Amino acid sequence: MNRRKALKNIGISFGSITFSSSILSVLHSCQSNELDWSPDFFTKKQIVFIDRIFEIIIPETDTPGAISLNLSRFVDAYIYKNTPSEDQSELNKEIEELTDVILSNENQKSLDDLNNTTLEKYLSNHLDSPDFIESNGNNYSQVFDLLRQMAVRSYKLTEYVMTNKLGYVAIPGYYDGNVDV
Amino acid sequence: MENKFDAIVVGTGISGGWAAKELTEKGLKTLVLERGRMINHIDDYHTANMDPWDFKGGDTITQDAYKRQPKQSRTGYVNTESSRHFFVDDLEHPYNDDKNKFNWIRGYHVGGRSLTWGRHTYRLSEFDFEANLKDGIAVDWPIRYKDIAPWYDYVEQYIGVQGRYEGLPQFPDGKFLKPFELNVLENHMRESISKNFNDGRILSNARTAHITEGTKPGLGRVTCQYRNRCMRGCPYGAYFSSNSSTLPAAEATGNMTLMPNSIVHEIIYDEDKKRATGVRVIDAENNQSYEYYAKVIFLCSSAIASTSILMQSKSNRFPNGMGNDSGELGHNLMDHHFQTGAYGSFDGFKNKTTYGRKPAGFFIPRFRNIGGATNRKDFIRGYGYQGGASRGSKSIASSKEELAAYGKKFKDIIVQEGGWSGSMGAFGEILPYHDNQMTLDYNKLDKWGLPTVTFDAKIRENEIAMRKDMKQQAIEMLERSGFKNVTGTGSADNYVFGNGIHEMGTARMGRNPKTSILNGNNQIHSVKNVYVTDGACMTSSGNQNPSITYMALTARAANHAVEELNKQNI
Repeated sequence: MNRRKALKNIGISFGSITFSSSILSVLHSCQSNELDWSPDFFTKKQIVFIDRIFEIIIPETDTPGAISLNLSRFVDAYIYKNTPSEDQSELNKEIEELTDVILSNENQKSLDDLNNTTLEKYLSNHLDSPDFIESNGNNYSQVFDLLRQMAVRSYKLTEYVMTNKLGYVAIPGYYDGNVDV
Repeated sequence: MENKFDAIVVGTGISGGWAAKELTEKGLKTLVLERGRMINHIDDYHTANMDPWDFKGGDTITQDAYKRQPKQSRTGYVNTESSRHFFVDDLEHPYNDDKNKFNWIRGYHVGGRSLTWGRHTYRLSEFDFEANLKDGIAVDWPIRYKDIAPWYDYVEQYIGVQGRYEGLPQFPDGKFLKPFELNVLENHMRESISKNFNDGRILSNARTAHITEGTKPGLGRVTCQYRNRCMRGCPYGAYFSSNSSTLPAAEATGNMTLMPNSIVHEIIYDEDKKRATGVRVIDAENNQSYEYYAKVIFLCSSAIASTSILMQSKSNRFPNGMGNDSGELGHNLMDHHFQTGAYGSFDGFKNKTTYGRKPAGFFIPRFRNIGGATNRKDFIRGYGYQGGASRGSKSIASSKEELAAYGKKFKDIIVQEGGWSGSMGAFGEILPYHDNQMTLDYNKLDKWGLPTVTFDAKIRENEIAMRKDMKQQAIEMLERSGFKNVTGTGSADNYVFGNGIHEMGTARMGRNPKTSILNGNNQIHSVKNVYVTDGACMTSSGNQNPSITYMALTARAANHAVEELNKQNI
């Protein structure tokens, strides 16, 4: 299995989910880096990394952000339940390698020791320049791109966003095909 | 329990439900046999009221589904978490398609696929009933449009069909409730297509079996609530299913005995009387065998299953399967080929959006080979498009244009109103090729010791040529309606048979017992008290979604059966 192909597969399958979202509501949000739940697929360390990246992509403002909305829980459940094992292991390798190279570059042992500005630099480098090469000789644009796609998709599928931002109504009762915006 | 009845109906789907209703309402004590479990209307729709966020990790086809339902899953569009309980476990219900891949999508439970059907409802037209005779292909239909038209009227009024009157001979109007309205972009497409093409093609509202005004008979059937969750079973009974409509009607007569978990595998034939006398049944749960007897038998278990039962019904008179004097049983297998068309984006109507989720979009009826300039040299018959236009939220790509790759601004952009898009995909006719067939493999038995079905069917030159046109015309209609980034989808020669879930033929109707299995009343030519009224009976496929035709043929056949019983002809 080609690693890039695995990421592409996951991206395509993730993109095909419609109208769904994390099972947990805002009320059960988790703001600290200490996980109060057990991921099915990712390691706790990986979830911390994903949460940090997701929160940079979709930050807490006057409305909930990625961590408050438990987006990583949705992604963990999705990958666990829906992704073929060969694609799972490639994704796992990619995330492990990426966190290792970041810690090594920054000369740190734990993600907790990195501030958001540092993490944002990696996100920005790879999203802005698809050919950006890390110190280990690898490029991670595709994995950052996938993480962003997963963040956006799962964000739009939360109860909070669907009902408050996207106008989702469980029982519309009628159809109007010509509504003024 | 009593084992003698006036009538036996095998199957409870689209056709079986109608047979049960008609026969019981006409006073026949009727045993209705279903191989799967009971599904009660509303009570057993356990996902119907689940909101999107109630599905952990999304409402998707899971890896577990791929393991247990590998063939149901590989269509990519049927068995998500919210509906997978309405599709069979392929490991428990195997079939063989080693030579040519065939997706046989089944629902083994009371109501069958009437719970999960696409609900599109289009009458066959005179073009379809005359087609085989005119083209010199296969055999002539033993009926014409006028024979079935009153029965289309009858079932449409009972089940509730919404649609728009268009007055086109290739797209016969029916008895319609007010249509689901086209949205602002779909209306624009309707105008553009009529203006830009001079071959008479139109874009109309999709016609579907949904209630859009008032109520219909059954278990509290009321108007659609625009949730678009039909595949899970509708708690409002707003779309037609056996469970909400025909089976409750049959139940209300007091004449129906409904038995789930009852696998019919053989029809019993009496050599002296030259009639069928009953059916042999295996209890799906405890493997016990039973026999039930009746004066008339309706096979309505879906095309492949009904033919499979006939093939297993061997006797001295019928060594190759009941009614198979012609040798045509199992042959002339058809489907509709689809999964080709086009999609594109649309820049206008920025100040317009929609409210509610209507469960149907538009339909472009057949505009090829209906006379004059519409006739083609590269293929015969025709196709129609289903499609829709909608507006969603902004994508990551549009956030890039606004120079926000992530962060606060990005977060705001991705929930804003995005652009409009539209798509259409065609359903085309597959000709009745003798070599497209199903057979039984007695070396590979299922868990009840019954032979498994083997498929061998593929599309050929006519369909491949048609598919090229299906894609090209979709592209042209979108482009001439002002769409941008128009992209064609699907390939011309790569279509998996069965994907249309319109499998039909294999026990065709015809005028001559030497070349067909059934007569013009859906009776087996040589066993007049056995009627086959599901998709097995089809002589050609047309390009229209076929369920309404099965309902009309079933009601017509039930009426015929009761008349014949009263005249003591059967």
